[in-house]
Amino acid sequence: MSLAKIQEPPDKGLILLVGAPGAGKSTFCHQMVVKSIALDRPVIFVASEKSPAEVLELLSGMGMERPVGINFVDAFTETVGLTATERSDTIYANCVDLNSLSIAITRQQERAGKKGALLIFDSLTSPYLFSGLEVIKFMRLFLSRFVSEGNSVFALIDEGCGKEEDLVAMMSVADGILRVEVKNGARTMNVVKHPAVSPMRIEIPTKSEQVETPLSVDYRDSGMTKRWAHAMMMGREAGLRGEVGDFVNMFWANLAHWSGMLWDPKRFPTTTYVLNKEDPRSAMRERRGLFPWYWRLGMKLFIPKNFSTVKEMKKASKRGALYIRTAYWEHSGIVEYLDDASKIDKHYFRVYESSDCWGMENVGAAVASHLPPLFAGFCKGFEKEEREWNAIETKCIGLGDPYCEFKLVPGEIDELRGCLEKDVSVIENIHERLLERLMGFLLHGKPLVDRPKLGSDIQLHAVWHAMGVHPPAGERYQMALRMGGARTGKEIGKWLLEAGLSNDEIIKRILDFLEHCNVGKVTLGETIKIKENCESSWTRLFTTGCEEPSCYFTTGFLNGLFSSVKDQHVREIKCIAAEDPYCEWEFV
Amino acid sequence: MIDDYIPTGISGADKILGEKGIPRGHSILVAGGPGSGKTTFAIQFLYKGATEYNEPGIYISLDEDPEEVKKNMSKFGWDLRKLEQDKKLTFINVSPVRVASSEKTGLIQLGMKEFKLIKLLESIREGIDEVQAKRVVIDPITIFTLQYPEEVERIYAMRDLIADFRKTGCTNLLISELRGTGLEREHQFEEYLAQGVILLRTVMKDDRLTRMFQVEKMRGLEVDNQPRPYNITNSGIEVYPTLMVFK
Repeated sequence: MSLAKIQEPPDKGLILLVGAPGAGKSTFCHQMVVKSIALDRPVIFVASEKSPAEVLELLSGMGMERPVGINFVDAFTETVGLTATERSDTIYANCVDLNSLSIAITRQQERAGKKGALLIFDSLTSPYLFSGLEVIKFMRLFLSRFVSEGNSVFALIDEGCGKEEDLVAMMSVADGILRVEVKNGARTMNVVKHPAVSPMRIEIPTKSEQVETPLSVDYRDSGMTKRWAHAMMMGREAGLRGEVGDFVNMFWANLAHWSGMLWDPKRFPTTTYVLNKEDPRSAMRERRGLFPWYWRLGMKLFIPKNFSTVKEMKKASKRGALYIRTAYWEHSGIVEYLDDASKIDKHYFRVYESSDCWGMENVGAAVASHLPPLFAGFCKGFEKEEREWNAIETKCIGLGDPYCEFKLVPGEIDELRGCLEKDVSVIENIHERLLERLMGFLLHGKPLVDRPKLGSDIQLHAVWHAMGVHPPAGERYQMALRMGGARTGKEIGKWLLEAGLSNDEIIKRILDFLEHCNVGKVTLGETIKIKENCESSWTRLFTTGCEEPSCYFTTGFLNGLFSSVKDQHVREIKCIAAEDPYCEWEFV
Repeated sequence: MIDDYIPTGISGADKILGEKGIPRGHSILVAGGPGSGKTTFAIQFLYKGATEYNEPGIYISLDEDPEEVKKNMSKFGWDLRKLEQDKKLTFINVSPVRVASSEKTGLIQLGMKEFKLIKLLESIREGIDEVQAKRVVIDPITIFTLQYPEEVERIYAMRDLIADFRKTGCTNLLISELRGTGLEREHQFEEYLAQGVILLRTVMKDDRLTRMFQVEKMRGLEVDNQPRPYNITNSGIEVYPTLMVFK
């Protein structure tokens, strides 16, 4: 049992989180807010300790730049005597007056317009300090009622800020009680009672999981590298997925990538870059032993110890080394070394039909996300002195060029970060373009991708690199994929409803679309099952032995879709990534 | 058996009134303290009646200048002048205290003595004829009752007024000042005479004002008698029929 499980927004009930000031209660509930929004559950946030603007800033630090689906009751501004400013997502209340709180929450509930809302109360301490035991009446008569209408409440209360017997009285109203205990700097979450979890104690890690550049990639399934290498050598199209084959429509991977970008336009692209570079580097170093012997021999014989000169790079490129042959086989792009333009330690490559960029004509930015860092990672991994190679796109279909080109150099590139991080307007534009393309497919059967030579599909490995290397990327990144998926699913559901399609027809068409993309083998019954789901088929490499389902984008997408079309939510209960035979989602 | 009700059009209030409204033709006393939104309540009742239920109305002012009322109510987005032009609403000023300017003495008061029940009834009939009114508001009825110093006389006058309303078939709100703020208050004799009593109460706690809406009595209707919180929002009065009032 992990902390993550109790951070899941409760389906129903009133949960009280008790702890001393500074024990990390607010951080805990912010993580719950992020998860709830990722599940497309409306959140009503009663802020009594700080203003909604401050809460939003903290949430943006967790990867939610512009959250949708969160409405505030500002019980801070007026209570402390500041002047309220008009905000469309905020209704004001005063902690002194419990009536104003109940009215504001009711109005936000009406606004959200559906059941299953999560009410976060951060915290009940201020109303308690003003109204004393009347707060218990408020909990019983108002919060419990709110819960009985199909919602849930997660309320925080400071320990030691009032009489112990009052705290006990409050706890007697709650359906669940969590208590954070701090002793000698170590924090423990004591699950006293909980509707979904049996009582236990969980150690809370002292350091946040979110590392700026996650590099500790933990490869768990060693056999996968071998199977992948073997499939490539044999030119096989089904080395990893026996039934549906290893190739997936690149549209699906790009949809995931740009949906995730929507949520975290700053960190998402840089994390993708870092991890896409790290993966081939470690493959050439620590994981070298996992490749078949003939690969290792080939590497030894044909790959130079140093990539500085044009001559060596040309030789290696001719043999299809680095990633040139793999990129062709995986249909990521047709890569050509530009020896005329290259100089010592400054190499140029041209990519035709890049799977990252095809269909992104003139979006106003360089959009390749996986080939340039893969090349840089390979160089770093191959070279004896392991110099810090980097690559940046100099031409791109996204910038209006007919093909893409990138520059590969050892050392830092100053403009790299700026090139990776995109303007929100560019991302919105790309996202909309992808959705329009999807609508064209769903309504009129137009092709999703029309690459002349490489066709529409890319290999699983490339799908994973294009989607983002999410299992080792950390929670924030996974959340971005999940929330992006939810928004995409929701929007497409809404557009199809507006186009006049019936609910069932929409679901049918989307499931057909998933099959068309070869995402996996999809069946819809009492649950949704996807056999050989592409998202988790590759991530098993990292997640073998994990308990957590890991189809972040697929889950988000299905959730958004079903919530907009059928007013249902889904939860992943089985996942290939967690060694189940298939991925499965139940309706909640 | 009453089977004809008119919705007040006030958000949340009709839910408290058994999802029906006020029995047609009844006289309802709406009592509230200063600033509790009595006039807003009354005008909202007339405005919604005229715009949403095709029931023209009359507003009889015994105190405030109707022009002031119209001006004050425009903040809720209610265009009362337009309703007047369309003959859906009429304002009648029968204030016994007329204020006129005089060059010499500044302000003088006129007309105190001749104001009696007959005059009020005449005005009501004229108004009803003018717009074919179905809803009438007298704001405030307190001024009318004050014309009768003797209590017996006062009760008779009030009873006659209500009886006369009955004949017209108009549903009417009699606006009254509530004596005593907070939860303790005196009962007023009008409360016994009227067929329904709606209280708009305000309670101060620390520096915060809590507003409570309560249907104390509504003859011919099963109602929710609990006090419920209400707010004066920028679209008028909003009552929260499912919420409890906290101290």
